[in-house]
Amino acid sequence: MSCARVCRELLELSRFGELDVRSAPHIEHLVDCRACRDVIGLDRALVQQLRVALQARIDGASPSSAAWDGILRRTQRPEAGLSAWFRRRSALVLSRLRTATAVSATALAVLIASSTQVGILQQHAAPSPRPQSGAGERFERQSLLAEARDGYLRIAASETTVAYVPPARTTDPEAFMIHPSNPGLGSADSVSSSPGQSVTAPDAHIVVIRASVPADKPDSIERPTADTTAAPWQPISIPTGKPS
Amino acid sequence: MEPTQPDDLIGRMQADDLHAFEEFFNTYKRPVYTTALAITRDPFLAEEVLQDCFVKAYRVRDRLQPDRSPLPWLQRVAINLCYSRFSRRKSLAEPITSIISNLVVDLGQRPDQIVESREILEVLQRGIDSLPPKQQTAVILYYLHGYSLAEAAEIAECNVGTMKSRLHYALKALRARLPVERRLPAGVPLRVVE
Repeated sequence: MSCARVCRELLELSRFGELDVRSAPHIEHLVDCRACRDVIGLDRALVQQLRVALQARIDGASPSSAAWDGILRRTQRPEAGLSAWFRRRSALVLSRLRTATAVSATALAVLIASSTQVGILQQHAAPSPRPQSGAGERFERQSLLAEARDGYLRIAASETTVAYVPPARTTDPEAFMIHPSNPGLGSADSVSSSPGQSVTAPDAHIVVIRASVPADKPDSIERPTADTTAAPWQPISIPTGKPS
Repeated sequence: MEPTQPDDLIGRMQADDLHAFEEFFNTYKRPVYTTALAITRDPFLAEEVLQDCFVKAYRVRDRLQPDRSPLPWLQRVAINLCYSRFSRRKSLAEPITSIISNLVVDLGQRPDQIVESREILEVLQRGIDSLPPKQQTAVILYYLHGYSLAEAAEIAECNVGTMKSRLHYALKALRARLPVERRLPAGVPLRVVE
């Protein structure tokens, strides 16, 4: 154990009265090392002198008997000054804030309660058979949103026609991804070409996307019809140009 | 170290009982006054601080907690009042009382010892005065009042480690002020540079 380390640790231990059995190695070092002993001894002497010096500052001093009279006189006087005004004012503001907070909290609670609708969910009599995945022998695949809210919310599939304008260069990665002629899109459920649609328009291609619409609000949503013969598709001619 | 608080003293004070307030003052006046005196070294200034401190305690008596000792709070207020007055005055003149005490010689000791010990005490007094306020507060709370590290840290509103650090640096600064021959360990000889 080095002298510097022993001195540093011993100084802290002895200053704050933390010497205990764990300090035995330090004490052993102290027995053999004169320099460390002197450092610790000097520190103890300094602390001792410091206590004497501090005690000398207050020796025999006590407050005069007039101190209490002065305090009593001042406490009986009404408080004056800016700080007193501020203290009174802050007390008033705080009391008002307390009331305002209570009122606003109550109002918020009422608002939340009035706009909350409580409904009772009915359970299935018999669960519908679920298609199993390839690993279905071991795991049953969880159905997503439609099953979770079955009886309450159903997902209706509809087809939305979207016109897609290919960029000038087919090397654009986005165009490659969405282009219906790309064979990679054929198997996707979300994107497919409409069976009755011609995609021969020179400037535009048709991509049909299935959109999920909540079944409980059928009238509120303007649902595009899948029957394209009722409203024949008019290809949009959009001038192609350089992408900005 | 801490005076025992009479039962329900703060509760009675909060009920505007002036006798309870007098009892409160008599219980805590000594530690608050000594702290102020140790910092200011001026009995008149220390008494002013004492009065301000207790007047403030009376005005905010509703906020004092009956189940906790008010002494840490009182000490904190006294320390803050002392240093706010210091900053107004900037420099302190040496109080008359310390000049008188320096002139009084203890005849029970040898003259050389008296001179030496007085010299060291003078150096230390000046050293304490020149410490930064936080270190000075730490020294007064720990070495004068004998508060534990945790109590001193509570009064100074810091953690125990910070309090240890402040004490360490205060002692280091005081040691640096001692004459060179007193700083060196006894085994190390002085080198004379020619």
